[in-house]
Amino acid sequence: MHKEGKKTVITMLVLTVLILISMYISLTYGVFELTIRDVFRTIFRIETNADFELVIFDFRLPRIVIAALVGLGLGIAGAVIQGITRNGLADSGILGINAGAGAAIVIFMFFFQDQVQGSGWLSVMIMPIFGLIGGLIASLFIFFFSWKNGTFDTGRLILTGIAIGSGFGALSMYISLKMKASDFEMATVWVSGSIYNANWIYIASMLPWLLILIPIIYKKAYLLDLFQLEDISTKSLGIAVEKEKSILLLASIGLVSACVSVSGSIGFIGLMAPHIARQLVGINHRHVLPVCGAIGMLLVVVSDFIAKNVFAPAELPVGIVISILGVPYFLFLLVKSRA
Amino acid sequence: MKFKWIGFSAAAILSLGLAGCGGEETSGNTKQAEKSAQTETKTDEAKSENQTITYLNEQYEIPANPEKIVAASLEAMEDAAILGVKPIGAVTIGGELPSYLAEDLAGAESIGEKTQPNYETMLQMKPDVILGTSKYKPEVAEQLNKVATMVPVSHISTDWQDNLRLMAELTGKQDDAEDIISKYENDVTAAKEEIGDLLNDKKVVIIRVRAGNMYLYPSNVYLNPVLYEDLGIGVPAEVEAAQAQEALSLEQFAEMNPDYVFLQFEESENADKPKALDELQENAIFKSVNAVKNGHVFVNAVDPLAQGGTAWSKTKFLEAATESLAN
Repeated sequence: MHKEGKKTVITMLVLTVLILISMYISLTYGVFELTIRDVFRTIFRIETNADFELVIFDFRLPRIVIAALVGLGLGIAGAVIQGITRNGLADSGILGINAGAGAAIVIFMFFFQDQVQGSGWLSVMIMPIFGLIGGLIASLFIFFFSWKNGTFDTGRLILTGIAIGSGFGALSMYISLKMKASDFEMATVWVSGSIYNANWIYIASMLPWLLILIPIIYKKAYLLDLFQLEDISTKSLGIAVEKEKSILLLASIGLVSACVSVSGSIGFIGLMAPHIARQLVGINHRHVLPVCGAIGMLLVVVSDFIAKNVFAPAELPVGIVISILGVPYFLFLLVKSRA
Repeated sequence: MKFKWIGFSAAAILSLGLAGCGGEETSGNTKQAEKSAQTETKTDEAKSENQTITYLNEQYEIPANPEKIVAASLEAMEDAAILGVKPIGAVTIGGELPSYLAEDLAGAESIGEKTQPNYETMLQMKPDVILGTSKYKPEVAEQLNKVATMVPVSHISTDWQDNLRLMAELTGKQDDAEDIISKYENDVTAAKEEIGDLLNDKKVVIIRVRAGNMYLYPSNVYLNPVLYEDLGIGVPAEVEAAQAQEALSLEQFAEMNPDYVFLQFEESENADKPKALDELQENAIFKSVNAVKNGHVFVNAVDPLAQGGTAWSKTKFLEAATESLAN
């Protein structure tokens, strides 16, 4: 146990340094040319130049912060979902939460986009709110269908998740086919997962969810270890399995919905981060969860930097870059763990 | 164990060296960002030689005699092309200017793809005005307005004259714009005479192939106004019924049995099904309609990227349509 703790501390330290380095690079390097001196002078307000401020505070920082928060949220939610379902293939995408949030946003674009004009707080916020509602509706469906004889069956959970996911996927497809050409184009960008639209309002809208839900999850992390036992054994330890599972699942759904609502459907983080984390620090969830969050952050921040700069001024969807970067490392870990 | 750290350092090398700086700054900056936006607008107002232009009942404050215009939408680019305006920046597709406008807009630098214009690139260009599109989502419009005044050019086909006059007003080419508009109107009259009674009781439709499916548009959207409003061709019931972009199945297409079909197929919009057009034209049901039997199917009469509702699209399409329909 002691040795494991030390390993976690070292891992977290390395990850933190890497995250800070990648944030620093994202902040200083970009299409608009800034010297490192300009960046520091602007941040510490020694010298103010309207253009520099615009680049740093309105264009670069929001993206970096959103990338970090989305990575954090998706990484932790992924670990929880895998822990509850005892299935290393589970992630929020498979459970249909992404699809639910996606469908809600497409529905919003189809029916209400025209009514909301201007660029005030409300019109910017309204899309994430719809995404959140959609994610929650999807998860309520999943919950409803996974209850059987008063217990919460994890096998059913994954099956209903897949079914609900394809249902909502079909719904968004149907609606986007009926859309106006213009909305259709915008919806495509959102669906493929991008944090191009990052701004401070989005950050404000997702931050509360992370601040509330992550501590709850962390406090209950030990339960995730116990859930790895058979349900019967867990029950015999005096734990209200159904209740605790529901709380943890709802918390992670909240996290995912908050992330998906601002960033679109970024896949793979929730699947990959827990595996990488377990390879690095073992299976104790108190250690896995923070490492998961840090890995998620690092992946999304680095990927977004690459996504916006490699083909500048054109952009790649960040989800694609995540796969390109993450998959080889993921496979490497799998091969190694077999040896 | 050691091996794991090798993997890790590989990731470290990936994210490149350099010592880290504190990430602490991120938290308190929301207010600063807002403040900077405010000072931004103040300095804009301070410029004395500003003019106010009115476009579709909205007023926009822009520098007098704007020289650096960024055309951040295909609509604005078509207007620039027909008026001979050289924007400094324009939208590209796959890194290149769209081929049908490349010659007219030569010299314009890429500002990114049309759905995700790159803010930093535009800021680097220090434009006087950005001509965007009314398709932008509010948060994109807000960011662009921080770079320079962004006029959302309407994507609605019936606003084409306002769009052209906007571009003309910015560049002092009002006379050219009026010439283009009156020439178009004369061409319409001439075309009507040329076509005469040929198309009475005939069904003429424009179909756009996207993602392998055929789509119809309402009579006042895309290129449709040229046919139904300007040339006065009867609106088929199916077009009349369309609320927005409507998918059209082969069966519906056969049932409609159009006499003339303009088929617009853009490869980049059919990335998954590049052969959709060939397959469609080989399809037995498709071949069963009158238009195909009589050789009245016209593929890409205008460039398939043409937006439909601009002076450029309308002029070119009118030309192509008159030629195709009168024979």
